Amino acid sequence: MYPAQFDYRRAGSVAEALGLLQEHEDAKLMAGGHSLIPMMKLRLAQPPVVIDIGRLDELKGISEAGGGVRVGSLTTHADIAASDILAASCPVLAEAAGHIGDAQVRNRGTIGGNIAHADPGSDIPPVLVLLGASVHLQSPSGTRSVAAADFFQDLLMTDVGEDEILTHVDVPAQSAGTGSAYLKFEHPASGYAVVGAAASVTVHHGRCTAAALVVGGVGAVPTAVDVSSLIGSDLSDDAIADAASGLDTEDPIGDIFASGDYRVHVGKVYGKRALAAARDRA
Amino acid sequence: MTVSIQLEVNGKPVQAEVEPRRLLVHFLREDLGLTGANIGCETSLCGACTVLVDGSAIKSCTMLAAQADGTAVTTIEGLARNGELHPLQDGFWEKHGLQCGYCTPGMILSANYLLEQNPSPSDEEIREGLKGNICRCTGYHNIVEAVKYAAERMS
Amino acid sequence: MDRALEMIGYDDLCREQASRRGNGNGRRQLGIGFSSYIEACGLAPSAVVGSLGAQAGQWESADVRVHPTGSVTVYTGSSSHGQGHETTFSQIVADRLGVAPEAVEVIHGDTDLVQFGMGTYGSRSAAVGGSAIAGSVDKIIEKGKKIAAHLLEASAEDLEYEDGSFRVAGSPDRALGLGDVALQAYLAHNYPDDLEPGLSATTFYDPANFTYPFGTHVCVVEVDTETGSIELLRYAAVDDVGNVINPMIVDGQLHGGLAQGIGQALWENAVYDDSGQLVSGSLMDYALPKIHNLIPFELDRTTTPCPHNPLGVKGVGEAGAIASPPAVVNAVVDALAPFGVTHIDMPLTPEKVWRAVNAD
Ligand SMILES: Cc1cc2nc3c(=O)[nH]c(=O)nc-3n(C[C@H](O)[C@H](O)[C@H](O)COP(=O)(O)OP(=O)(O)OC[C@H]3O[C@@H](n4cnc5c(N)ncnc54)[C@H](O)[C@@H]3O)c2cc1C
Ligand code: FES
Ligand code: FES
Repeated sequence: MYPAQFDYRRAGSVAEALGLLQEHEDAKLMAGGHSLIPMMKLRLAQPPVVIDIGRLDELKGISEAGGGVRVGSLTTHADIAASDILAASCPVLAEAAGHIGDAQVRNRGTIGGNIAHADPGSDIPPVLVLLGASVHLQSPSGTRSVAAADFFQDLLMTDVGEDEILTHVDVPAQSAGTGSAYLKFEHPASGYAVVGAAASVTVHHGRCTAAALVVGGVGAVPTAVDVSSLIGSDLSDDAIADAASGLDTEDPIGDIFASGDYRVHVGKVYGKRALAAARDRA
Repeated sequence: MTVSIQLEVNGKPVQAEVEPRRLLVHFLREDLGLTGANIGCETSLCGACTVLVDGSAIKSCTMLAAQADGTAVTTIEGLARNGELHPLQDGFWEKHGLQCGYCTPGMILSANYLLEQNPSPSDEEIREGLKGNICRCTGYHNIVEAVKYAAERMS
Repeated sequence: MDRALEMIGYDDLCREQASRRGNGNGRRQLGIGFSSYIEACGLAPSAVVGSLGAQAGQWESADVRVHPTGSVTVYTGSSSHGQGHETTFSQIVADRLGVAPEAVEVIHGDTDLVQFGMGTYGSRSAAVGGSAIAGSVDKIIEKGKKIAAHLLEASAEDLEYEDGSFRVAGSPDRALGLGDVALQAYLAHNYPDDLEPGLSATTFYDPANFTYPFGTHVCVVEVDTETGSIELLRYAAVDDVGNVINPMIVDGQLHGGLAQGIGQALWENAVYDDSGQLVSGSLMDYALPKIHNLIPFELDRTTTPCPHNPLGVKGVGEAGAIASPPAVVNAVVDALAPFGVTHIDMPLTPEKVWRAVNAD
């Protein structure tokens, strides 16, 4: 299968990439190409111009920044999964990245491409929403940041504007006493998440002081579950199960492998298990 | 339009003009005659097209030849040294790790990458590391044995 | 079955299963599934399949040529696409003719070179294709005896063939190697009057009967009753495929068949929508068995030679694929017995299992 014909431009800097985006209508940025090329091969995408940003070192890497961690948009899943910085201050992001596809996919795919593509079965979006990460975008007119929870708008739709490049993601460091976990129910064919549950809980003196649960794969965008009932509790299995059962999506997605009803059910079960795993790590 | 690319393939410099939409796997197979990288699925899932780009295992059906500009690519044809099989090739031979052989080049290159990262993997780590490669013949049993054999010989 | 029970440690598994069931039907149930099978393969006696409606016989052809150097080429109608015919067929010739396996070349699949044949299917290549090769080798030995008898001035009836040499019975020093005889067969100037030159033979072998491999497979699974997910824990198989020519290839065939059958039981699903459109048309939706979803297989065998073909082989290509789907499904249904589940259609997707667990 061949993609339709297109012109190829390789950007040498973010500024050049932004210029090329302005210059060519309907141009597509390409990072790792691991969502874009499959779409182009199936002719679901036929951009006239592809702007390869894959070599922009300025958008690569993981560093500590302002009490959190800054992850450049071109950082690969493999680098995220193996990052010591993330392992220390934000392990759940590394855990989720390690679940993506397979070794070859993780070597090419990037965090920026993953969230800009916003597949409902992606592993990264629920984790960023869970962590309260901010997504940073740059356009010719400046930079802005948007909360992960607002970034994902609908199926394959995000807040990235046509003239914008996603530069990095800022993730707050996990506070003391916090445990987190990402649990994935993998699709046996595609390897994407049928359901991916990201959870975190903070415990002080045996009592829960903060808790969060975000489930991917069930709705078009990551679904945050209200688990505030856990705050002040001792995080008993019953309390956790009760909180996770609050998962609710109006219009759950389904496919030939797993119907919407079933996904909601598994979302509750995995939500419960992810919360319990987070508790055990806190 | 065409793109000029310069890269190293199995240690030899290669220069070419390619269409932007030329996939690396087609470039390797059709332009360079390196037919070891197979095309098994076209949806980036079978791993038969796996090659090493700058030492990392990647699926060459999901990379443009243009993206490989400036890199060093290793295909199965580049693995043997001075006519001697690589320990992984030897392992697949000794342990009957292949039947039809279609998945084998990709399996071996993925396994090669795995052993670079983790020279003595457990069975479970081998199975996790090769999860991007599908084999329709062997049931994977002897593939795991072949990788263990190679790991031992390489250590 | 006795051997399979021993391999899998059946009594311990039953205890483990009972304790999980006793535990208020906890969420991880253990299931043990059996499948004992007998297969009719080695397709097939031409008259029988004809009477069943097949409009062609299912014989197989082999042309075996011993060259003047003593090396051998086999042309077989049974083509290989990974089943290892090159190895197995070389071994058949090497064993019977007493030559090194390296001296035997096997040619298949090229209709420019190979005589008409029937092909590889129905676990038939060794039983039918291999028997055709054995037939040709036997013809070559018979002819070689006549040539050797002439050269050794003995009677062909007094000649024995062993380890690549024609010997006069009782006089061990009167012997000629296969290579010498082959060379003389082609020079053919000092040669029996009534014999054609050359040393090759073609056989079209029509089997006398089907062959009947059998065995018992045991599969152990853990079912997560909350989600319906199935995890394979153990798989043991004891098969009787008749004489084994190459154990590694036979095991490899079983491994592949098991993956195929387990895939069918758990994942593989061709789905069409109401308008007839295939919606599982790529590997994004059609799930094949992958390496991280399978486990090492525990194999053993008994050997009961097939009585009606010259090699005593029965065939192994399909054994794994035949026995494994019922073993897997039975294991899952066994795990769910406390929930009153007695049947689930393949493939046993987690959703179907979950629905079965929760059916009223
Ligand atoms: C076989 C296979 C299995 C996979 N399995 C999983 C899985 O299990 N879980 C999972 O989460 N993902 C999975 N993926 C997707 C993978 O994570 C991709 O890498 C990711 O979705 C896209 O990242 P990319 O860098 O390859 O982006 P690209 O394909 O290059 O781009 C994707 C989209 O994002 C846009 N884009 C990219 N970078 C930027 C940027 N910096 N600014 C603005 N827009 C940008 C592009 O224009 C394009 O529209 C899988 C992919 C494959 C091929
Ligand atoms: S052909 Fe590249 S993954 Fe299948
Ligand atoms: S050996 Fe045939 S696909 Fe692996």
